[in-house]
Amino acid sequence: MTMPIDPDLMRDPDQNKRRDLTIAAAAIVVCVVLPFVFPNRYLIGQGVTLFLWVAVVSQWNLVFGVGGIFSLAQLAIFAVGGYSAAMLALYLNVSLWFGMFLGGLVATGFSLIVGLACLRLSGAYVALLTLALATALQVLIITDTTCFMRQGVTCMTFTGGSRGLSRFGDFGFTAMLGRANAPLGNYFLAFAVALAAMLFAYLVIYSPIGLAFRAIRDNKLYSIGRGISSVRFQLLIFGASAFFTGMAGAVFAGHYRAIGANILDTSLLLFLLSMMVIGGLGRFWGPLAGTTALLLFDEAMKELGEWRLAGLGAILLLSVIFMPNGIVGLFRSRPAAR
Amino acid sequence: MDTFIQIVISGLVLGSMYSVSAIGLTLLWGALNVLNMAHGAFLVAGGYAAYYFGGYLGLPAYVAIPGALATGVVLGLLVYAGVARPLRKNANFETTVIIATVGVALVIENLVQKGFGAYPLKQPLSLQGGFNIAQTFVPWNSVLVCVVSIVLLVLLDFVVRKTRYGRMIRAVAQNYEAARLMGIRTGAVYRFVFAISGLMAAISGIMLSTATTLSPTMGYDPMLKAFIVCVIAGLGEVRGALIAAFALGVLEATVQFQLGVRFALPLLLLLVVVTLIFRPQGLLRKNEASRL
Amino acid sequence: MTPILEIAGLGAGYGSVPILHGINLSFGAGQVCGLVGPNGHGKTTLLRTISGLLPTTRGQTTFDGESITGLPVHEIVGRGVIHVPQGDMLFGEMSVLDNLLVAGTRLAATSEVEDRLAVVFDLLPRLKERRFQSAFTLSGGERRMVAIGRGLMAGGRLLMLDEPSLGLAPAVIDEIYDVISKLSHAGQSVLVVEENVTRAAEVSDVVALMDHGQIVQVGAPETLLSGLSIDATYFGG
Repeated sequence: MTMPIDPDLMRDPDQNKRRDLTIAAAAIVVCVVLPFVFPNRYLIGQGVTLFLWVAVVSQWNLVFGVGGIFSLAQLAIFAVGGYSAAMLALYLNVSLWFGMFLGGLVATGFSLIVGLACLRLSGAYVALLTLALATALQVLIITDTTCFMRQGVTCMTFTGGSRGLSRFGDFGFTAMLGRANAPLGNYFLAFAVALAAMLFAYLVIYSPIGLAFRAIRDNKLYSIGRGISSVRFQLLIFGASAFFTGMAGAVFAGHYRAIGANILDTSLLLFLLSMMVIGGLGRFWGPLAGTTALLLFDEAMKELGEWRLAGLGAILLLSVIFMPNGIVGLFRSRPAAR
Repeated sequence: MDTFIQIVISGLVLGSMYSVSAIGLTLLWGALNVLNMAHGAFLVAGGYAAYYFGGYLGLPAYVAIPGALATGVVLGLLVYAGVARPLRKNANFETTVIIATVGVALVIENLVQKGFGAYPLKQPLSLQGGFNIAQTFVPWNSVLVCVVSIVLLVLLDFVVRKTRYGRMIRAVAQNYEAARLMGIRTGAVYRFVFAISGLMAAISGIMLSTATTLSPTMGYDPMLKAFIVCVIAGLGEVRGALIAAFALGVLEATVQFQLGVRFALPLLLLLVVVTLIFRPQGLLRKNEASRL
Repeated sequence: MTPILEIAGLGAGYGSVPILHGINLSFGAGQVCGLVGPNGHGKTTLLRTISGLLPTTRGQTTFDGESITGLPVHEIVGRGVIHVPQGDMLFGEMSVLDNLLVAGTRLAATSEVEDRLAVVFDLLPRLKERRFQSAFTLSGGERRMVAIGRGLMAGGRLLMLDEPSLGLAPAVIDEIYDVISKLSHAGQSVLVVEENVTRAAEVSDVVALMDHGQIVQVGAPETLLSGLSIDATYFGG
């Protein structure tokens, strides 16, 4: 006689579909309505930033939070996506719309290589390797002075060097929506990318693949014993988390009509890392909560700008020690599944 | 021939900076599995403490330097009590401690910047003058840095390998639970290692600031170089770090002279990446499981 | 005679999962107590609780007339309760001598360390030959001897051995048990966890049978061996 399987056993204890749907619906309504209620350029600009970082952090969370791989390459992947789209537009006249997807693909390829390099490593070693890659990328871009193309009297380098790349156009919202409404175009594009990224993250976290990721994170040897190929899953997670990150990079480039090596600054990396940690590592709502919280923190620190770093550091330190499951962890009654 | 001598000398000067930067970092990693991202901030704090006591308060060097060293020890102890101890039982100790020490680094850097300003300052406690070898100027200060870093690393290696305390540190590093079962007070060992690491970092900070200038962000570059040295030698290798530091210094000088400054750092980083991919235990370590 | 170890109503477990349900056990100084029973019924958990690695949730552990319940590990070791863990847990990169010396860290005087070392080398001469070798280069039997020697160096008035026969060839197990009976003749108190009941019975003065987190029977080895209770535990009969 086969035992009937208790449906509760099959359900992920972290998942609560009704709760997730309610939060998602509310968040979507707020995001869609807000720019019309407050048609304020600054607010819309901050919205774009929020969406882009949500997209990046939600994908990073798949690698670090869910997969347990402490990669610090996420902004390098973001940069690869952004730079690819910008270069395609600049040198080959590829529309940014198309370049956005190509940027995502190039970023995926890059991330797969990073994943391959990290295969045999764990913990701090992954962090060091990915940090070395990101730093090398930044140094190579900044110190690039070889003439690639002449633009009038000035000499353009292939990567834009320390000045960055610009004059590759944008998504053309000015022509589509008029000058006044153009920022809204960027706002909703970034919103769409963030939404897609989060949806993707949801699917990954609660799919059998997500379970496999968590199994590998929690006990690598056991999972391998159970026939989960850690190599395949590690590459899968690196590849999958890169596409929307790269796309976000392209939207970033289109929004600012420029992209520079400063997006590879360690300070920005740490800012995004803080978002992920403070929101709640490995939790679906963590990236949204963390990104929102830290952008609000940044807003509040405008007055006390000179204490921003100390404030950020203190928040990061305190949350690691006293709030190991992040903001999202505060809202659960059940003990965490990890 | 002159170029060769120039390369060797600037390589040695670079190497001494690398080795002096790596000292505290490699000890903490090897003994306690703690990758201290606040190491750079420790260097900054040591350098500024020496400036504060020596330059600002005008105390003589024999007071200012011990004062700065004490600052380093206190910082090490604070990070132990405030970060490592509460996180010790965490299953993801290795990664959470990295994130937490990033937080510490940001706080220290910001405090230093508020206290002393963002502009570079000159470290008053430095040796002046120098001598020439084959038309290359060698500052006395660089000689001092070189000697101090070698002495410190050799001393540290001796302590770890030959003394009772060193034996306890190695025991805790190799098998935490067995060390407890042998009656070792692991908390005390942790505290000791953090204190020593803070002390070493303070010495490094003073040395580095005498060779360049003081600034709130002066720790970042040495920390990056210290990471490079440690990875290539094998994280936690004390003797290896010394060799790797000087080898990398000479390599960097060679690259700078022959290929241009631009490629020096990327090449070192590439070396890190290749090392981690093909020999994660480091180039100078015999077997993978080895700790300290 | 006061018992060297007296455990009363001891409870412990991992997280919220209780493993030990009120253990009662006591034996005298100089005795060897064999703790037998099938795998996964709490023998190792009991040792870990006695040595303080796991917190006691209820009950008392008394060592030589004094309570050691809730003391930190290093203090329990300081009193003379030494837990030689399963699988040896040697400091693999260190030499045999360094492994032994680490265990002697608590001793203040150098002469004391030397005396103790002489005793260990006398009992385990193989360790003297191999003293400068790294622990990870040793054979399984030699590693086990280092683990026991380390326990003696730490000043074990009570030595708790967790499965000293684990993973060794029969001939080597004989050697290890020879050492245990030598210790016993020298008046050393030993608590030995063993899956192999006959082995344990050879050296023990008292045998305790553990089942589902409880001590179900205590007695002289002959009486226990002749009973059916062991079969019941092992074969579910």
